[in-house]
Amino acid sequence: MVTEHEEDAVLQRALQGDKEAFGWLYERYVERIYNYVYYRVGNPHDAEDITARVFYRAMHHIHHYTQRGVPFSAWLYRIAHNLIANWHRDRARHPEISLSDVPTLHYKGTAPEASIVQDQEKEALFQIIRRLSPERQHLLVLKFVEHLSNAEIGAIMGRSEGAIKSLYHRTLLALRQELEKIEKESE
Amino acid sequence: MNEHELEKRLFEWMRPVAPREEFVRQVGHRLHALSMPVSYTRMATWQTLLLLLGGFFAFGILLILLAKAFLGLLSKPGKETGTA
Repeated sequence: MVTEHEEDAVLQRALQGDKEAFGWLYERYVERIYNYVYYRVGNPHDAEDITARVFYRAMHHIHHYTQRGVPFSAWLYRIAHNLIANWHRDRARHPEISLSDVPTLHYKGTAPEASIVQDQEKEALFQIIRRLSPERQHLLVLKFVEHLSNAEIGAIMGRSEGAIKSLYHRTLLALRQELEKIEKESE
Repeated sequence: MNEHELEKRLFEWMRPVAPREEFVRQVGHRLHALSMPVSYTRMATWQTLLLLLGGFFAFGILLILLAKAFLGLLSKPGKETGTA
């Protein structure tokens, strides 16, 4: 377990151009950033590409990072968010059908029919999540993938614990409404 | 679907995804090979002062040299091209 104080010391070294220190920060955050990007873009290929670019950019602009009570991860998430926004813009300009957009079928454990239904439900839910605002998507990843508390999420997103709680409930409500709409349409 | 069921599904379906080990290693190597920028904004005050002073003196010397060269050109007697 790494303490906040230890991370600050490594960050100071990285800010002074220490490659080893930056490498340590990379190892610590690569999985978290990858997860965030993966759930926002929906395919591993683009998730890898964007994650790599997040860290290249972070290394080149590390002197722009200022430690004012904002966690280093929040700064990385902001870079990731900007790159994802560019990715969406490029995709809107040059639309293409990705193989990963097609629901994947897994037959392990459950009967094929049940598995297909579950995969379709899962894909439908993920597509709705990807249509939510970036802020709400970020909240869902931090809550369900990283299992962070509202206070920790607040520190990363620059919001109070109460504001996160309220945003979370509004997000769940929006998700439910969208799901109900889809269910009604399919009936 | 109520809120509780939705939360349950999200917990079940939104699992952490591990990036490929090879990808993590490759990016790590690439980061190590790239040069890190030196942050001049984070230098100590005395280092900044020293840099400024050095720059100021270098600029001064350059100005003196240019002025000397210019004066040397002006004071040089011109070549006479008169015919006999």
